[in-house]
Amino acid sequence: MNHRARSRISERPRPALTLIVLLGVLTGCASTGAPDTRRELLTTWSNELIVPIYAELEERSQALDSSLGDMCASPSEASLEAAKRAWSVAREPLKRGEVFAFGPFSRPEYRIGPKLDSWPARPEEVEELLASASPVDPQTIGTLGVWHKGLPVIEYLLYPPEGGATALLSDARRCEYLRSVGAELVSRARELHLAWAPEGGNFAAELSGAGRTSTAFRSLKDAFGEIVNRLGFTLENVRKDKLGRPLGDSAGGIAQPAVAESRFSGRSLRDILDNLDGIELVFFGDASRTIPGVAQYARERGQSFDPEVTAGLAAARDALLAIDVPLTEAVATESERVREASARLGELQSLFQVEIIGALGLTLSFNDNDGD
Amino acid sequence: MTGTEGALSSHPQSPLARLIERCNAPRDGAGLGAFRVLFGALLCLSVARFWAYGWIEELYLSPTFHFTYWGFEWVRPWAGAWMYAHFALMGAAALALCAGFQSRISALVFFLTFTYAELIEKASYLNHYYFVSLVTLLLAGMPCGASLSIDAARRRRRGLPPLAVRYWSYGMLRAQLALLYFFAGFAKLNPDWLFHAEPLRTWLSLHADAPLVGPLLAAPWLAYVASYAGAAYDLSISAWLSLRRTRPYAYAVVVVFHLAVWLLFPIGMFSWVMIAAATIFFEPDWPRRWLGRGALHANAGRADSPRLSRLSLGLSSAYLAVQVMVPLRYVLYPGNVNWHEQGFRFSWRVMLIEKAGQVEFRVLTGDDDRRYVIYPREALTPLQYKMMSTQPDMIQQYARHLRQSFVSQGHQRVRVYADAWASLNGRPRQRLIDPDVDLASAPWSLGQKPWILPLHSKAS
Repeated sequence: MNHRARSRISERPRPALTLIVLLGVLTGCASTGAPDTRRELLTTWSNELIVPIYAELEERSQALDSSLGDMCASPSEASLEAAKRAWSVAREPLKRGEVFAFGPFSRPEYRIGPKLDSWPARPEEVEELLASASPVDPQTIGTLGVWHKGLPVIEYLLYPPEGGATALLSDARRCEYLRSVGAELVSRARELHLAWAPEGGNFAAELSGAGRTSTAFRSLKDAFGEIVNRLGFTLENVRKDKLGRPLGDSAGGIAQPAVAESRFSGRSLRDILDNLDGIELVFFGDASRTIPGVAQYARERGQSFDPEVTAGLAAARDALLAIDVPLTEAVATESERVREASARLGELQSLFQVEIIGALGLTLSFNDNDGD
Repeated sequence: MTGTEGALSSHPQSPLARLIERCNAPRDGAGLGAFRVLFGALLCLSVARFWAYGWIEELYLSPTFHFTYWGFEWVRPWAGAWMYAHFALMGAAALALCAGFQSRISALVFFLTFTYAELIEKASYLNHYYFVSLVTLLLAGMPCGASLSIDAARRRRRGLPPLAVRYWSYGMLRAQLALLYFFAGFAKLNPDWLFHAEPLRTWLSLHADAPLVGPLLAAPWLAYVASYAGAAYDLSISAWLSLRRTRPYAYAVVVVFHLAVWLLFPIGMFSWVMIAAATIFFEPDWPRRWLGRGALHANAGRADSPRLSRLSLGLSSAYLAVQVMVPLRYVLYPGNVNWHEQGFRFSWRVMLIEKAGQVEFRVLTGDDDRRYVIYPREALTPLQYKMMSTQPDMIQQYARHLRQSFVSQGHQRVRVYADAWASLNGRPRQRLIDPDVDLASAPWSLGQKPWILPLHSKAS
């Protein structure tokens, strides 16, 4: 009986096995495409770009918190300037990392980003809180909404529009509030860092495990597309919110400086330049080119956009640097230069969002109704 | 479409009479019944997916603006729970069609509810949704409940003879499917597809991470093989399915082809619909042979048989003529149809384009040219924005919406211009729309849109 069974099995065609062998032979013998490096790139970007940027944000937030403590302990022009510098330095990794403003930064279950950086700041809400009898200790600040915390609130307190920050900071309640916001910032920056870090929530594994173990990304294409599409989205946000709204694009062309990012410190244009640094980092990799970027993947597929992106970044930077007054002034006095910068950023945006996304086949899919 | 009166008044010898006689030749209704059961089951599943995935909310209720079709601007989503009621009715009709309960009415109700929903939002247009609408319309006009149905069982219980099914029912459905395949193949006979293997080369290489076959899928030569095989499949599969000798092999190819498409591309129910639909090419008695003769009641050539009249033949011919002309209407518009997309929809132009786009609007108002810049991504759903960014008629539609919106806010002399860029099948990006044309004032019609800029470059 066993013999008959074996004999029957050996005589019966086995299509699945035949198919596997055939595919194996084809895969082994036929000329194949370039090796797929997307997963490797996602892993590298997660561990060597995103996690370090957020680690840096945490570290610089701690430094800012210390600076604020020093300033409140001995208010002076020097300690105020040190605190301002620390604020600007802390802001840099956040702005550079804006191209990664997905996952823990914005997903509903985390939404850490708005707690770090909701702008334009709302001074009236800050003043209302300070004028109230509500405590301004770290525990209370932790429970308040996004307009009472984060880097924009610190900016407002360090750069009060009426000037005289030192005098204001000698106000004990104001200083207590500033220190609480600083402490809250540190804890949120740590939360964001840990959400990505392997020793914490390990969202990095969502990217590298796309299509396998990830619950956030159904496929490798989705995860890779998320990052590459972010290049264009970030530029659109810059043009729409950071330049367009202050220019009055939604107010019939009447300048609206009060809606500019970092409007008290005059860091608005620097914020955008930091954004561009982040975009360059993702596209080309790090300066030493030890961390590869999207450009490498495109080249592996026989497509190089390096000259166009290099030229586009340079043109955008030049146009931004040509604005020689703070953005809040420029939108009223040098609006053509601001428009020129927006146009250059727009060209770069369409290069990413249309040409590169199209050539790499990375248009985002939303559901099964999004097809043919 | 059917009638029992005046069915055959022509001279028996005339070609028309012979055609009508051939169309009226009785056929086993089991094949049509099986088609109805399979199709109805897939429709049930489709409706369930809309419900389960939250698409009723996402596609119809959440958007504040809908891209309706020209001439169907009056089609709007029902408010809140009524839209869910609409889909409940659609689901009930699908279930009834599958079970063969009031089959023709069920098909008609499904056709009306499904088509209404599809007409609400152009961004969710899919070729197979259009196919579903057409097939359910055809089913509503033929005795699709003659076999494998509650209707047939009820007739038996009442002592009535079963409804007969005639050749024209099979003929119409086969013709519909054959036209779909033919035009899908015909559309692939273009330089991008044949000489550059685009967009398949781009799409297949995205599966380079697939186990075992990944490196193979990334190989350029495979994209060419797949492109030519795909075009040959579309152009010839109906013929192979029609021939008795080749039919089993052809159907095996249908199954393998559509499963491969289903595995590789996010194409939803399309593959399953096509696998089910191809059974209409089988011999009409195939379910009887599969299930055993005793399992089904024979109904070929009985009484109570709706016959194709001369009028019905005329209507059927007109329907098929429309089905031929609609996919060919693109020749009326100069330029590359895959770029300007005039005559693209309802034409079975499937899997032909990888297009990416970006669009913003400049709105000028009043005599002093007050300037507004509109980034539509924030007002539209991601799907709407994606679809609009590459489809000129949707861009114009949104421009018209913006004008209306500004006018309602009290603005005067509202002009809307689009900064739209797109790339097609790996080409460098280029402007899609003339940025100096006020789209809100341009004629809103099916006529040629001269403000669509021509495609300059060839695929890379």
